[in-house]
Amino acid sequence: MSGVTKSNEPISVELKELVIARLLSIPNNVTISVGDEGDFTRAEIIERVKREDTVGREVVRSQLEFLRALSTGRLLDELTSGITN
Amino acid sequence: MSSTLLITRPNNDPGTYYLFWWSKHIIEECKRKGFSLIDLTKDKANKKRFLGILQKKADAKMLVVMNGHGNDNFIAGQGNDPLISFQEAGLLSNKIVYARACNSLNVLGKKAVDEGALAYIGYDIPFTFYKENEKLSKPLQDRTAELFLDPSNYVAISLIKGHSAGMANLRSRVKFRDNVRKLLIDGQTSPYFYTIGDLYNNMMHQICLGDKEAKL
Repeated sequence: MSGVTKSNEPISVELKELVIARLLSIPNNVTISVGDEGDFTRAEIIERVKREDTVGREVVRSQLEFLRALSTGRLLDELTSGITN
Repeated sequence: MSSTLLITRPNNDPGTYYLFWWSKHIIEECKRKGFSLIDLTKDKANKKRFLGILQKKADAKMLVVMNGHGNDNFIAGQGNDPLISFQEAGLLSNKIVYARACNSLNVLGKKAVDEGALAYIGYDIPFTFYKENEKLSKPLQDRTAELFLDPSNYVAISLIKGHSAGMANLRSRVKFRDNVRKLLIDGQTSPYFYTIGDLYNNMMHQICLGDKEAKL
């Protein structure tokens, strides 16, 4: 695991709420396979975020990276220009 | 002399079960191109057998595809037992590697390239994907999983088609990008919109180390 999970700093309430709001859009009929951590339902993954355990912190890191890419224009750059290695 | 694909396909939980089946497309391409195939499935995906083959074929340039769980230091085989760890990274010398496993790029991948792997394509974060519960018995019909597993398959398929390691990674990432772009355009009307963040992360963290010009 990497990113947010490397830090032991508490995740802010606002950030957790933002991530959970996004996770609530996951349908009930899917499971999420988070690498060697296993498979999780929506409810389970939200619970992990609330607990700020390894899985929860990785989910927050992942969502945050996407939202930052969206807000800074990096995502748009990636979608409109050539991807490089 | 034909090229060789050595692929590991453990199958001991829902995640590896999906990778096991989705790797079928890689194997089909391998057969189409006349590659020799060494397919280590289920119990055959064990350390003794895998490392034995690598030792026996130490001088041969070949494609090694590993599916399974992993971390910074090792990739697992059947039963999540380590298949290869960073201490054995030198056995990947002369190989082009695609590791569809979590985090292995961080230590195992770097060490493999330092010790002679031609190229190592993998992830420096967990490889994440979604599965539809109704499709668990028919994984190849799972359109949600396809968003993740079709682009990732394309690393190995591109290498088998003759593209360089760098180009194979690029072509795979373009497939991820196309899925992200479509979801962004469709927005909330898409039933798959919730996957966009994880697709973006898999795309951004799929990295090629070593010689990007290396080919089979």
